[in-house]
Amino acid sequence: MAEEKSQASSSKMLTLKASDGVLFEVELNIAKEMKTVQAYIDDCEDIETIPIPNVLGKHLAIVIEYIKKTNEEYDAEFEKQWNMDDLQLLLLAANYLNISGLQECLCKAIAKRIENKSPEYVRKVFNIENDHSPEEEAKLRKEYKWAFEGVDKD
Amino acid sequence: MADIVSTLPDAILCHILSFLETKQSVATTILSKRWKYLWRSVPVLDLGRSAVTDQNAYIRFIHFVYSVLLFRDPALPIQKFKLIFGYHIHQIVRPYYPMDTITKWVDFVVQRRVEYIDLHVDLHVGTEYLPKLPISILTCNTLVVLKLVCFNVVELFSPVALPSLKTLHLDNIMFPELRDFMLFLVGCPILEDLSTFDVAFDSEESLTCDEWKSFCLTNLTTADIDCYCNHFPLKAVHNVSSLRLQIDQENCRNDFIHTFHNLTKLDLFCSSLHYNWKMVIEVLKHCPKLQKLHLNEVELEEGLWTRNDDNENWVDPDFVPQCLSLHLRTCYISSFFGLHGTELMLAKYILKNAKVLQTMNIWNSGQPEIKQQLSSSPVASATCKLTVYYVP
Repeated sequence: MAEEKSQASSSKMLTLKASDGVLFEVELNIAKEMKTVQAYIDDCEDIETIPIPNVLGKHLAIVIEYIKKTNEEYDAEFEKQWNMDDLQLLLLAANYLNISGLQECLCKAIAKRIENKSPEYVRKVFNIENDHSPEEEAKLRKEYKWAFEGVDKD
Repeated sequence: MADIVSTLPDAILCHILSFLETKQSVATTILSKRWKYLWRSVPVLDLGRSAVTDQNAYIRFIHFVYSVLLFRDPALPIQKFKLIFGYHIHQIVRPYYPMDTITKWVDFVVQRRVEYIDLHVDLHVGTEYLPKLPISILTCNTLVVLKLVCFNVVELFSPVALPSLKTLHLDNIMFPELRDFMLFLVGCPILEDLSTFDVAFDSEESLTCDEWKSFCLTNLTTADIDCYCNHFPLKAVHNVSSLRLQIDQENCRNDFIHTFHNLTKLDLFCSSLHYNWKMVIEVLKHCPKLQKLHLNEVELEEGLWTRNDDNENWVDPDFVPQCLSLHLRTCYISSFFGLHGTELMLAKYILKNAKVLQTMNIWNSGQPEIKQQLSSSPVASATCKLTVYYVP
């Protein structure tokens, strides 16, 4: 009896609906890796279509693929395929969906891309607006002088 | 694209910063107001490779580190401490002795439940003088990974207690005696990964055979042991499944080699396969489940290995090692000179007796004719693929 039940639950399919309306049919055990989705299922047992309002179809597809395939080799190759914008949006998605393995992989990947780069480069790549006053910035640069020595000019 | 990253929770941004060196993560303080204080919640102190060439640079460096230690969130533990510090001993004059300062930092992180320490202090004075290892490391009960390069472990007055330690990598470490090193290992009961390179001892005294007879690191799965300069009791690591071993014939007496019941992968380094072939067979006899073997011949300084002229001639072993008959799938032989008879005989012996061998790769720096000799030699396994690379 127990065996039958587990077989039934692992082949049960669920539909996820991305923010742009794209639908994805996934197995229950794949969907459960997304803790946000798991929480949804726990609350409403009979649900068949779960809305994912914060994530585009393009990114949801990548996330689902990641969950299905993930292992060390896959992780190493995975991050190389995406540009910085996509990495950030994927991290946003992974954070919303609460998938710890993917979050870890993406944090590492993003760190790698900004490693040894100057603060100016990092601002550019993340589109961060500098709202420090010039005086404040100068004060910080002086306080942590050593942190600003010998950085890549890129 | 908009600034997405800044909308992520603090914890995620701090996690990204935790993969960067502290120098860079502190520099993010100037990115924007949102980022001003994030670096203070990063539980990592990674000072990377910090070399100072003069007194002023040194002062700026320690000023920076003390600022970081003072301003970081005091409630937060420090998970990782990494420092590779190089300086020229005559460039930093008294009273600034770097090891005093570094020892204080180590004490600080140990108190804050550090789990990972990677410490290397290079004095650029050769191996004659090694800095003293901060002893607070030896009783840090939260430590999981410890990597040390270039230290002198002085006499241990209180027992080593590293109950959480799973990974230990030692490189260029001096102990007073081999027994002190063994006592160190006794203090690491759950160790899984052990690597030793250039571990030396002030005193030549070797262990009495019985003392460490039953000592074994039961959780150990991977070991990298350098036995050239000492008689490290291999029994301590006999549970491993993967072993990298540097060994000389001189070590192989008095029951030195124990049976490695779980060993499936062996990387063996010795000098001159020609003189050490008997030892290689002896080792194989003690690895009943071996699946992957890599034999490496290295050039060693004179005096570090023994040349035993008795072994110049090949003699078929009295019985075929079990691993050859039942388990060996892959065999690599590097730096094959093939000039003398025994190297070639060893390779042929393996080919002739390894019944499930799939791959045999040989890197040949000797005469090219070796390839033909091996190709026409009898092979026990029908599926064995033999490749001989010529490396002139």
